[in-house]
Amino acid sequence: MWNLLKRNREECSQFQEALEAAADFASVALTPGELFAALSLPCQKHAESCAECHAAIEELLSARALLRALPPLSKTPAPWFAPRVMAAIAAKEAELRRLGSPWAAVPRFASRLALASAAMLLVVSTWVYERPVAVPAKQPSADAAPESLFDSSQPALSQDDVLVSLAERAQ
Amino acid sequence: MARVPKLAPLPLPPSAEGVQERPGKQQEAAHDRELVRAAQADDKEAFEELVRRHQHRVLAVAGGILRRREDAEEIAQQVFLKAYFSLKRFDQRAAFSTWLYKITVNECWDMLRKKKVRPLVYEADMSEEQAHQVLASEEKGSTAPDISERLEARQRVERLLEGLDERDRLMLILKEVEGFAIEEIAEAVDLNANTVKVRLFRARRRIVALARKRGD
Repeated sequence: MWNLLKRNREECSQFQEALEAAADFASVALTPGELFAALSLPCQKHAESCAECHAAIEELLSARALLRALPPLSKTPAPWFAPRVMAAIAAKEAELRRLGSPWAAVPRFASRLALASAAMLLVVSTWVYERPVAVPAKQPSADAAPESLFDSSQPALSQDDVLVSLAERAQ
Repeated sequence: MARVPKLAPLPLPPSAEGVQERPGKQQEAAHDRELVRAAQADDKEAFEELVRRHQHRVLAVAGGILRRREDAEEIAQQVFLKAYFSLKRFDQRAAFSTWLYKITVNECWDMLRKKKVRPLVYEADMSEEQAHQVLASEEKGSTAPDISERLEARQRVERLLEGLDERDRLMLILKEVEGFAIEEIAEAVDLNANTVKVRLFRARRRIVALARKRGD
């Protein structure tokens, strides 16, 4: 009994495979007759004797009938598709070429460049504003000359005079 | 205890055997390889030809995940842009289509992550163009239901699909809506063909069970 069941199970699994192959071949079959015709004789005999496998044929056809409600995408002609893909490729290639040129780096680094320039400007302007102003050295000039005429200029003391005056103070 | 006799495998129908190796598939792959080589040598026309050859499939995979035509087109364009700029690194160890599908799936998950929205369409999301598409996809005739009924049916199916695992949903849409072959789905979702068959079988069973439960 067990052996018979096992045998049937193996036959059924082989039938499943054969049914799928038949369905693959008779891809538009919508009636059991059309599908039966695509099965080999032993498979047909098995389907007649096995209720489960007979039901499998009906299920296959029911599923097929259900799925007919969906429109196929691949059957719709799209003559514009290939040119559109080629145009997209050309655009991408142009973009890649542009990215490869040295000028392409400018917009890429523009923000960093602007930031660095701003920082540099700030540093330079701060330095210019804060730098020590050099005082011009006083030089005798023609304007100063009349003042010096009225200065009571004392004759410069010699070293000996200094020593004498110090000695006098000490006394 | 009797031994279980070894079963002779149930044969595939003779007609279905050809599905595994589609005629012209290898020539298509060879042509793709030539075009890829030319495109790698900066031949733009070769790349445009590759776009033309694969745009429908890429759109279908993207649409299967995103379920919005506008999003699918946007992603499809991004996929081809990415493919173009990485083409020189593509060593052709895998098929060009496989590579493209992988980029598509990754881009779609990225988009969903960024948008943090559910990839299903509801009434408010449906554009006028999509509505026209629904109308155009149905046969014209006096007995055909009107557009509101079709839109309603579509929304019902979208809600049912919501009950499936994301990958199962994608596989089911690619198979039953977009008409992909099992091997193409396997390529797109990076699983082997047998796993795809098993998961498709279970996904169909689940969606039918959900429909019955909801009384659709």
